[in-house]
Order: sequence, then C-alpha cells, then structure tokens
Amino acid sequence: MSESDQSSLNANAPADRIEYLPPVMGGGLGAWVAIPGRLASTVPPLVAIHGIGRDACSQARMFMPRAAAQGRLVIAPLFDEACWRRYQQLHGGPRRADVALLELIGWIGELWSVDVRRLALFGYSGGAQFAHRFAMLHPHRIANLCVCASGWYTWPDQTPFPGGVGPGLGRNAMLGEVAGRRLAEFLRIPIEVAVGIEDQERDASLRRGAIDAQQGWNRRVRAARWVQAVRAAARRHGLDASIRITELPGAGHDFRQCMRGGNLARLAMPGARITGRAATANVS
Amino acid sequence: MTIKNQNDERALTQGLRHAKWAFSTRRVSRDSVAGLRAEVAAAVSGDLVLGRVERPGSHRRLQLAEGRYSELYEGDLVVVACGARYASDQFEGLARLGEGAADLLAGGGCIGTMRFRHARMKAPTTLVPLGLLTNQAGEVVNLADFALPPSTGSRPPSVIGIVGASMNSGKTSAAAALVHGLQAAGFRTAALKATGTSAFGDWWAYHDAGARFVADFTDAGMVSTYLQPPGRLRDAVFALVDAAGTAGCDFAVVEFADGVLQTETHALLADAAVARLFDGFLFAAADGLAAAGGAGAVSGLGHVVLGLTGLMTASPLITGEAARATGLPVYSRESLCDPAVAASVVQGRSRAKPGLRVAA
Repeated sequence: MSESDQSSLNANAPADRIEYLPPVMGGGLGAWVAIPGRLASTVPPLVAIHGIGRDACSQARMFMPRAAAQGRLVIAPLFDEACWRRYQQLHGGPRRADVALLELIGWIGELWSVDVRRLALFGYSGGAQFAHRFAMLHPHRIANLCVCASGWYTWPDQTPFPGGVGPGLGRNAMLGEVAGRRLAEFLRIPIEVAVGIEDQERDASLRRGAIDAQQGWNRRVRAARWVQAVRAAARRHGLDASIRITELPGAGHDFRQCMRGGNLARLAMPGARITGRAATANVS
Repeated sequence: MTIKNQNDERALTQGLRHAKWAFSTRRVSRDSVAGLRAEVAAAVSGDLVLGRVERPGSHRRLQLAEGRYSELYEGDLVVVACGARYASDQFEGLARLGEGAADLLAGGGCIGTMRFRHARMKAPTTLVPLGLLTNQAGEVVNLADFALPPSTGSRPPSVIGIVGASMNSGKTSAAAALVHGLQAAGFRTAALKATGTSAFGDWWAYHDAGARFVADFTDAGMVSTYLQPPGRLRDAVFALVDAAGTAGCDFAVVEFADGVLQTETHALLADAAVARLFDGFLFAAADGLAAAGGAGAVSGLGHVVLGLTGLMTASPLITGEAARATGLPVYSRESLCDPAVAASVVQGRSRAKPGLRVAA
C-alpha cells in the first residue's frame, strides 16, 4: 500500500473510539477496548494490563494512537479491587485471573472479528507481574511481550511458583509445573523490559525481604537482573533469547511518565502497517 | 414389502413419516428412500432397516437423529441401521437379521443379533425387521452412501489420541476435558471418535466441551466399527481427521472406544499409517496397574504416551502409584480443562517425541 493510498484510507476511516465492556456475571472480566476506525483483523491485539492503581482506561486511551495507526485493537482488562485483589499472581479472584482473561479475549475476538490467537501483551507494574506470568503459562498466545516496571519477577529457575517455575505449593503446584514445562517456549518470545530510569524508590507497594538479595533493591535493578536471568536460562536451553531492556528517561514509577515520548508504546507495539476495514462489532 | 402400487407407496411413506429415525441415521437424506425390500436376511452392516418394536427390553429408549431420547413402545416403527456391537458391559452381537426378530444392540440405533450379554444386562429390546430401505434405483440404502468424502489430505497440524484400558475407564471425560482446555487456550479443536457403536452421548459431550468440529465413525459411514475390515477403519480415521482439517482446526482429539486390546482399536493402533498420523496419546485407566500395562502396550506399538488420565485420578493414591510406575504425568479431568495444562500436554507435539519409561 502506497503512502497516498494510506492517507486516503485514513481520511475515509471512521473515528477511533473507546468502549467499556462490562464484566459478565459470575467471574467475568470487564475491559476498556480501544477500537481503531480501520481495524486490521490479523494484527495481534494489544492486551494492556494495569497496575494496582487499576487505571485500565488510561492505558487504553494512551496506547490508542499508535495502535490505531496499526489497525490494532487495544484491550485493557479491568481487574477490579473488589474481585481481583491479587491478580498479579493469578490467584486471589473468583477464578484464576489468566483464565478469566483468556475468556474475555475470546469474546472480544468474536465481537470484533479479530484474530486473537496471538497477542501483543503489555503490563505495567503489578500488570507487568501478571503479564510475564501469563506469558509463562500461555506462551503460544504471545506474539511479543513488554513488561514495564514490574515490582518483582518470576525467575526462570526451579524455585516454587510464583518465585520461579518450579512446582509450587497448594493451588500453585500445577502452575509451576506448567510454567516449568513451557519455559523453552517462553524463552523464544520477543520480550521488551522497560523501567523508568528514576524508578529507584522503595515505595510501600514494592515487595521486600528475601527477594531483595536475589532480584535487587529496586525496580530498576530487578529489571536488569531478570533480563540477565532470562538470557542465562535461554543459553541453558540452547536458545538465543530475544530480550532487551530499555530505561525510560525522565520517568519514575509512573505510567504517564513512562509513556512520554512514545517509546514505551513502540516497545509494546512493534511496527505493523495498517490494512484494515471499518470496525464494526458483531452485536445483535 | 416391495412397492407394487400407489397404496403400497402411501403405506411406506406414512410409515417412514411416523417412524422414529435413530441417531445412527442422522446423515441420511430421508427423501432418498423410495422403497422397502423384504429380504432382511441379506442385510449387511450399515443397511437401513425399518423395524417394529415387539418387546422393549434393556434399551427402552431410542436416541433420535434429532438428538433426543424417545421412549419406545410396543408397536413403534423405527429406522435403524444393521450392525454389529462390541460392548464389554452390555452386548456383543453381529450384523445379522433374522426374518422374524432381531435385537436392538445399541440405543443409538444398531440392530443385529445378540450373541453375548453382560451378566447385569436384561434381554435386548426385540424388533421385527419389516424390510430394508431402498433408493430410487432399488438399491438398499446404506450409511456409507452418506459418508464424509474420503481423505483429502488436509490434516490439522496436530492429532492427539485418547485410548484406554477398557470401556468406562474415563476416555470420553478426558477427551472432552482436553478439548475444553485446548479451546480455552485458543486452539480450534476437533473432537472425533474413531471406533465404537453409534450413540449421541459422546457426540454431545464433545459439543458441550466446546469442540469446533465433531464427527465420528458414523460420519464415515459406519453404524459400528466392530468387525469392520482394518482398511475401512483406517480410511475412516483419515477421512474424519481430514474433515477436521478442512474445518480449520488446529488440533484433532481422537477417542478410541473400549480398551487397547479390543480387536479393531488394537488393529488401528498397530497400523503404521495411523501411527504416523498421531502426535501422541493420553491413556485412560481406572487403576494403576491397568495404566502402567496399557500405557506400556501403547508405547510398545510405537506411539508416544503423553500422560495418564481416567477414573484413577479420583484417587490421589492410585494417581501416585501410576505416576511412579510409569514416570508419566497424570492429568485429572479438571486439570485437562485448564487451558494452561491442556496446552502444555500437547506442546511441541509435531516435533519432539520423548519416549515412555515404564518401570520394570
């Protein structure tokens, strides 16, 4: 498609918009969905997971410009505090958080006729915790992963899940087994790790204790060490890990600061050209 | 009754309209039926039979083509298919019709002659075969006339088998759970049944699990796979799997009836072409010894055993025994329903094929 074709397509496109999809009763997830005027049904949607501030709407809105330029749907699920207190670790809600998200994504795929089998997955802070754990359990669904400012990480070693990918205890037993079994698949995913260059505070929400020795004193150090650990694990599996770390200038532990300049959006949504159709939902 | 005049034709039309068409006839176009041939003794497997209920027995309900049960009453007219049956806890019988009476061997609509029955089974429902349905050309209508097209070569990327130690070892539950888990994990999944006798229980179980495509050997033209030639069974498996591929499925989950020692199931598992078709098997059993022996038998036929499942998973102790004896992972129905687990069971199936270790 030439640039003139592209601009004429954009000129005729319906407006981009954001809709709120309420949760289905009985353990469903709600979501903010940013729908580009021209929707490219084969471009993997961006699934953006909020932190414990739970500002899913802001994520949908702030990722929308780049996503819309790519014809890409943005799905920002809302793990509300009343139901999903510890969604970062997948348990702690009415159902497992990753299973609820899979269900939501499936419905949204049907609703907007978008191929949701592969996803661009992003998470910020607590959402980054969720995102990399989701990717460890469901690596086949991930086209690319971008985690920003995670408070702590699941290490690619045999520590019981969620500390590592070894068999966990209780309801985490099976998750650890699965994550361990699928580690090689996870290590093949293109991963971008981002953190604000000023994200060095030990705020109240940062997990502390024994984890400090393994993962580091603050989010910036923890991001760097996790990248090293993932690279080392990939080498042990005979793989060449596709993982990079980007320190975002002028940003502390603040999503809006991290989004300034557009770098984080580019990391979350690598280039894809728009070849879309007018977006309509299959709502009867 | 040979159709000789308009009154005969009207009588047949009325009879067929009021008859209960069994689930086994679900693919048959009713408009194709034009007559009735009285020589029922000439029936072969798959031939359509118009029968009258003489004495309801063990099967007091017929599974209808519409997908529901219908109570059977003395005098009911039914359209069923002639076939053999092998069911270790019910009947064994042949695709053979007596002139005066025959047996309803299965509730899905299989009529034949019972030879053996389980000690707990009552006598089968007795049907009087009134004739074989014929088409415009006067040929007997057979399920094979309405079968899926032969193999087209459009396979799904991966094919996973479910086999077991015996009937009622938990195969269908495991197959449905795996289908459910794979669907939830984002895979378009087909549920197929390779062997057995036509019935809608498993068919609905697969649909309920969310399968994108469901088919069984009846869709390949057979009311029952018992005593069918190995070549026909092989062709049927390929036709079913290819239909799943044509339907756009990523995975086909294929259940085999009965145990691995059952003749037709064993013949298929031992078939080299079938072996190449499958990327791995789950083995279902009710106890640890059956799991270890059965998984070893499947492995011995050159197949990859991905794990164990079945009724034994109700017992943590038996689960532990089986896992220790085989070194294989054990999956309960609940765990197979989990998208993370289901995807991990089948991960990389078209590539790595680790072998089974069975403890001495």
